[in-house]
Amino acid sequence: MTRQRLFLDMSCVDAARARIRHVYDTFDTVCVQFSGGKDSTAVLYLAKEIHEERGLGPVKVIFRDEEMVSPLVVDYVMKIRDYDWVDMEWYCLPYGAEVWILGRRESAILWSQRRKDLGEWVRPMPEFAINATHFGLTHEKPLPESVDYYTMQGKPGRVAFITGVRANESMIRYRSCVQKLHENYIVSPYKMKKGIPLKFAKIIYDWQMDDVLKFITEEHGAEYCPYYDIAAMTGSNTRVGIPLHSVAIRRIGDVIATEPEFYDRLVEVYPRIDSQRRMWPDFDVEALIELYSKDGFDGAGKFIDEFMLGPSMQRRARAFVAQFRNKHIQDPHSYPINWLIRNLLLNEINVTSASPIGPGTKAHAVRSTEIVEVVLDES
Amino acid sequence: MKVEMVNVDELKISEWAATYILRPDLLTLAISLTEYGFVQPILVRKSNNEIIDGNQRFLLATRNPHIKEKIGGLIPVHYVDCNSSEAMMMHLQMNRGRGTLQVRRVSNIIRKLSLSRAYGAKDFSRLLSMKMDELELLLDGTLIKMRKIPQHTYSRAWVPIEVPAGEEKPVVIERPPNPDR
Repeated sequence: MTRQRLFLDMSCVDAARARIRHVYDTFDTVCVQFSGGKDSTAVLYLAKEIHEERGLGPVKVIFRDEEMVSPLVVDYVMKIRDYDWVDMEWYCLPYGAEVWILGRRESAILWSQRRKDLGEWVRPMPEFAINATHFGLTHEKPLPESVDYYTMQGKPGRVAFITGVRANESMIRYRSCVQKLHENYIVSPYKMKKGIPLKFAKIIYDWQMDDVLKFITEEHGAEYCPYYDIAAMTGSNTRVGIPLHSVAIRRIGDVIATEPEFYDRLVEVYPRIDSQRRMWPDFDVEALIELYSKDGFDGAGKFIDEFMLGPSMQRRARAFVAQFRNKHIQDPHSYPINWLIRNLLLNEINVTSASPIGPGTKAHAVRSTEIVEVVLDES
Repeated sequence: MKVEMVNVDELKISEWAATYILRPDLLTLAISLTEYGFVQPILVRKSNNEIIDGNQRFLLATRNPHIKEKIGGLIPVHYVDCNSSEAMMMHLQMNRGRGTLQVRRVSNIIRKLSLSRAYGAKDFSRLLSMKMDELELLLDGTLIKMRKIPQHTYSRAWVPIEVPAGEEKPVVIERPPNPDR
C-alpha cells in the first residue's frame, strides 16, 4: 500500500478553518509559530478569525529570532508584534546553526556570548526578547533541549503550535504531512521527549503558494512581508530563514540581489562567505565527489577531516557515515559511496539519515539490470 | 589626473584581460557611448599601450561605426607607468570593485521615470535593454500581479489515503522561480 491524496469537495481555506477549529477544540493552549514568512502569516490570520469568532482575545504568537534573519523580515515581525490583536513572545535563544562555505561546514551558536564578545552578532538582540537567562541558563553554551521545549514553557495543558508548513514545498514536507491517516496534520515535534504535551498543527498543509497570497491579501486585506516582492523582482528564493546553511548559501546571490546591506553585514561576521559568492559558479561539485568517492569509506573519513570544521560537526558527520555504512552493506546499489559523499558535501546531515537514491539514477539502472540477470540465471 | 586623447589604433587589448560583458549589457553600454561619448578615460599601461581598464569601451569604439564617428577615432586615455604584474593587479582591482544595482532602488527610479512620462517602454528597451516582462515587474513591484492572484481560485483540500502500490499519482512540488544548479 502507498499514500495518495484524496481531493475533497471543499476549498483548502474552508478545510483549514475546520482544522483550526478542531485544534482549538482539542488543545488547552494554541500558539501560532510565526516566522515572518507568508505561510505563517496566513496561519496567523486564520487564528485571528477564530479568536474573533470565539472572543478569545489576542492571538498567542511565538517568534524564534534566529539572529541571521533578513532585516526586511525582522521589520515585518516587529510590525506584527505591535498589532493589538497579537500577543507575541519573541525568543532569542542560543542554539547551533550551520555555516557552509564551498563544501566546508562549521557550527555557529546563534546569540552566543562568545560571538557577542567578538562583535559577531549579526544584529543586536531586542531588549524585550526572552533569552536563555529567563530559563536559568546562559548564552555561553547551546540549549540542552530542543528550542520548542523552551518556547512551550509556561503554557498550560496540552499545547499546540500551529505552523505554516505546506506539503508542496518539498518532498520531505509532503511526507511529513502524509505519515498519518487520521489527524494527519497534527504531529509530534521531531526528537521531542515523549510525555511533553506539545504538538505541531500543520493546518494549511494542502495549500498552494497562490492560495496563501490570495487569502492574506483578499480575505484580510493584509500585507505579507515585503521581502517577497523584492524576491519576485529579482527571481530570488521565496524562503525566509538563515541564508548560510548548506542549501540556502548556494543561493547567496539572492541575498545580494534583495538586501545587499544584509549581505555586507554577514560578510563582516563571516568573511569567507564572499568566497562562496565569487567561486560557487565555478565550483566543480562532481569532481570533488569523484575525488573522495574513489577511496570508499576511507575517502569519507578523509572528507570529514578536511571539510567538517570543529569536533561537533565531525562527530555528527561520523554518525551519519556509520548509519550509511549499515545501509550500504545491505543494499550497496541504493546506498553507493558517491551518494554518501554527495550527502556529506551538499545535504543536511543532522536531520535524517540518507535516503536511498531513487528511480532514474544510474545506480537504480544497475540494480534493475541485476534483478533481470538474476531472474534470467534462475530461468 | 592627466588625460590624453589617443588614436584607437595605437591601443591594444592585453592577452590577460579577464572581463566579459554580456550582450544585453554591451548594448546598453553602446547606447550610452553613442549618446554621451567617453565620459571618463580608459587606463593604459604606458610602456606597451595595453589597456588595463576599459576593454569593452575600447572594443565598441573600434568596432561600432556610430561610436567611432561620435568620438572621431580618439579615446581619452590616462597612462599608468607600471609593470605587467601591477597592471594585472589593477585590472582585477578595478573589475572586482564595481557596484551592483539594487533592485528596490532601480524599481523606484523606473517608476519615477515612467510617471514623469519622459520615458516610455520603447525608451527603456532601447536605452537599458529592458524588455517588457522586466519593466512590468519593476513598475508594479508586487508578487500579486506577477502571479495573477485575483484570477486564482482556491485549490481543493485533500487528505492522505492508502492505495495499492502502483496506483499512485506523482506529486507536484513547488520550485523556486530560478532553479538551483
